[in-house]
Amino acid sequence: MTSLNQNWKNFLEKGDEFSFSIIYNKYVEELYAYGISLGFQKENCKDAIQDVFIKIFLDRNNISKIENKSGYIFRSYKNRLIDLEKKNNNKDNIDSVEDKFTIEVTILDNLIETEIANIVKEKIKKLLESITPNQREVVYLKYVVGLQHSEIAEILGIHEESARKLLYRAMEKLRNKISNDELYLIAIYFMLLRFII
Amino acid sequence: MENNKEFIRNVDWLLQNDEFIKWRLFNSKELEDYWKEFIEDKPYMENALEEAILQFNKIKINYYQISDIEKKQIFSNISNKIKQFKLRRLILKVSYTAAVILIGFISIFIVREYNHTEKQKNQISSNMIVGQSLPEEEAYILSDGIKFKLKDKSHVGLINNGTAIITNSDNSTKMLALSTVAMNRLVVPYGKRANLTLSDGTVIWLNSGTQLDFPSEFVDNTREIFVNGEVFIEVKKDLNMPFIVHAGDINVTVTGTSFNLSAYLDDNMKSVVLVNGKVQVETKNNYKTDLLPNEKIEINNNSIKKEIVEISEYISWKDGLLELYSTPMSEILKKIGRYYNVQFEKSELITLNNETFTGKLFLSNSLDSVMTSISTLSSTEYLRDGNNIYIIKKEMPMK
Repeated sequence: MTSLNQNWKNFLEKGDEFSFSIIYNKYVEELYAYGISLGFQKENCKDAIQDVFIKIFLDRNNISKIENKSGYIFRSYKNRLIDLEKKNNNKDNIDSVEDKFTIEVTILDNLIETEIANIVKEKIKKLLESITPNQREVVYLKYVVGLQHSEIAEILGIHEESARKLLYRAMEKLRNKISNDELYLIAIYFMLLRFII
Repeated sequence: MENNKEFIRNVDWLLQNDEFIKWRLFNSKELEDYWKEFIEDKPYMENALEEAILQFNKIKINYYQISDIEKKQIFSNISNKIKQFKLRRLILKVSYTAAVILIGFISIFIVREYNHTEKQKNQISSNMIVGQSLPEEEAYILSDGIKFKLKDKSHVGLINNGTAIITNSDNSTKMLALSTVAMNRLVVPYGKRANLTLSDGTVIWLNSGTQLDFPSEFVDNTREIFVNGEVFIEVKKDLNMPFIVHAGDINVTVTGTSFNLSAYLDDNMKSVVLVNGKVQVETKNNYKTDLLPNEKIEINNNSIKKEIVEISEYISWKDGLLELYSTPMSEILKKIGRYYNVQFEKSELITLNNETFTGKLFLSNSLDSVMTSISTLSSTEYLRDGNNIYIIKKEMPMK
């Protein structure tokens, strides 16, 4: 973490190009996956990443005034994606962007038995599809990307308190997704287990 | 056995359990407590829980991966655009200032401003060298006004009556009738190599960007050839017939020996390195000197310097190797550039250009693999975007 901060410092103060490349490498994967998750085309995501980093480099005097750099990068990236989409479609059907946040579950290796894997996959999908796309995005940014509330707020252009609330409501919904039957089944499972042993 | 089955069943059960899934996905305090309690309550599940966590870690949400190649490509696009922008900014600045100045002063002013901005430009990119790979050209022999194209790394062997046998790197051969009256010319462009056996048995390796004029047979009392570029020559011993290499302002006279001559017309620095035997080097203003084995003479405009050197640094190129002994980056890139037909920024203001390196580079067919070796050798990062090549200095993270 300190080294990333050090790199920001080297880049912003001295225009150090190697530090800039480290910063780029730190974000490129997260930005790409986030863009695809929002439903944008691969090529658009790559173009938007490019544009955002060119801007960061050329505008570094202003960037140094920004406290919340991750938030800023994600937000300018998202804005850029929307702009590119508008340009390509010549229309502003952009309201739908927010409604597009999709969830795809991937299982690396085949450590988990296929049958079980499919069940788990389905469960995770169902679970995350039970909340709104907007909430999904917040949950993704928080738990998959690992961003702070303040950063998420910056990306969505809302107050930190609102971001916290939004996330809280999403989590509340997810928590209640456990049906009481499930708890009931857990009890039965262990009762039966006792018998078998 | 039974235990094992039991274990697997428990792991599978956990993986499918909604609470377990939520815990692993969202890691809330509440669920943390729940599973702590769970284990306290059912200690026999501890191993299964650990295993389930391990397996669950392989589950990824929205795992859209961007390839390393794509990552590098985007980054080199960024670098390119930045360079363009910077240049445009400078040009704007220059033209704006120039417009304000009276016409009579314009030329002087632009020259000054240009020098200034040139410095500025290099300062910005002092940790980065940019290269550009140039379009490929073919090697050829010119004889009696006719061009015979040659494949890369061909060997040309001269036998009687002006007949040349051309052997390609795949061992296929072709016969060629060369002029027996006039000189023939072998042209090896940047990025290509060739070698030639003259009618007397002398062997000449031609480095990239070299032009050699030679007769198909030596008839008089001397053997004379003309070189522009770099050659390594193993002269067949013949005391009665001195061998003279003319290279611009310098002449090298030998009887039987092997030496390397680097004398590119577009390079002020010319040098001769002697491997064995004896040669006499004569420069334009009639300065004559003998070279001994392992000696190098360097002629730079009017200054002449003689020193003992590590020969392999100067001749290894003929075996597809580049040996470096505290060689400055600019020199390495000059050689690499000739060998692969790439033009690199030469400016001394780029600090990286002045750094020296020692090591051995294998000059393979792929520029990429050579550049990768250079970047390892020099702790730089190498990026390629089509014809553009970037060498970026890695800065050691402070403290």
